[in-house]
Amino acid sequence: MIKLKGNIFKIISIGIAIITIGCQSETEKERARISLTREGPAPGMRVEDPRQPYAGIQYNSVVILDKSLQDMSYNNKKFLFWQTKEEDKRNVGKIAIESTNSRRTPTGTLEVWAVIRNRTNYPLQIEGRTTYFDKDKVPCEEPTAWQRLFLQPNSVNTYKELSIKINEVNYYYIEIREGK
Amino acid sequence: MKNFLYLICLLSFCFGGCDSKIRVENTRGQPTLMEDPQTTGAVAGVGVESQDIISITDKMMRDILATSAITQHPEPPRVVIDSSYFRNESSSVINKNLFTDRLRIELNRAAAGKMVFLARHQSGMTENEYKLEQEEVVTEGTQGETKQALGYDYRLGGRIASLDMVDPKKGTMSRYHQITFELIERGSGVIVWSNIYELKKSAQDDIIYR
Repeated sequence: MIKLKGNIFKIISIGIAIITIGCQSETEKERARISLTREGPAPGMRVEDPRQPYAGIQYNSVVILDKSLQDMSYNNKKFLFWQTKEEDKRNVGKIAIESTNSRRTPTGTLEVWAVIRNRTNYPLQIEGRTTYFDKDKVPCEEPTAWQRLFLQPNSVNTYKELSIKINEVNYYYIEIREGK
Repeated sequence: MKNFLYLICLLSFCFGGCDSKIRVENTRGQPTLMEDPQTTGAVAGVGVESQDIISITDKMMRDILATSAITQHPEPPRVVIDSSYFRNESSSVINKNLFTDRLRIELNRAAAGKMVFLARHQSGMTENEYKLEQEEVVTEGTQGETKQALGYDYRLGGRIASLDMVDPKKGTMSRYHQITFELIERGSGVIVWSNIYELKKSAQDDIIYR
């Protein structure tokens, strides 16, 4: 009886050892694979994914940075049977960019503007800043300071900004965030 | 009984001695925070703050550069931007040089020769050097003899004004700031450029500005 117990113990021990060795070898393989792909600092890279078409810089456009401005609350929203949440997301931002464009001032600096509409029944505060790029899409001056804009319920207001440099400014990129 | 009382006294001295140890508040404390000066920080009130100064001076600088009366002279105009005529008439405690220094430096960097800036805020520096040169204490620089200080064409004037309101029931304080900037032509006194910036803030408890 004692001998049988001893054998069972040996069998169980050998089994555990085999399983453990197997696991270790798999883990080591995984580690080796990661170390091959991730040795040293990670290189910076652009996101080029068809599922994320707006991940990069869209020149001469306005982008909304804060999720709180991009989406309204879904808690109380009821969807009709043919609507899906994902489809409706495209049309639920708190603010709408009605138009954006640029023009030269008499001194040659570039004036950009964005007409912004508050789609909610509440007053909103937003901040905007602009980055200017030259013809090679190289940033030619530092981003402007954040300028605050007050939007009354359902009203329209205009964000305007001027460049410092004159003829070398060709593109602009306006960023909007929530005023805090 | 007497011995028992002695024992109690002795023990109380011992424990008293233990209590008299110096206790150090050995806690980690709040670490220093680096904050973005362009964003409202952890300490904010109803006064003018860093994000306001940056936003205001940036707006004024860009507006001056877009004014053809100033930047499209045949000869670059000489401009003085200092706090001598930029008055603080508000209830906010603020160093006026925060506005004028940032505006002058940003304009000087951006103007790229379209305007020339005179250092009237450092006028003592050139005057002292001129005196030393006249007394032959120092030699002239590599650029030749020290020239006479230049006169200006335009000088900055302006005002910081405020209007305070307090709700004693709620303890809420509100302050409206009106900050004006003007570039005034020498001699004629014509205002060739002006702009205004307004901000209104309210808070439950006002913080102390220094």
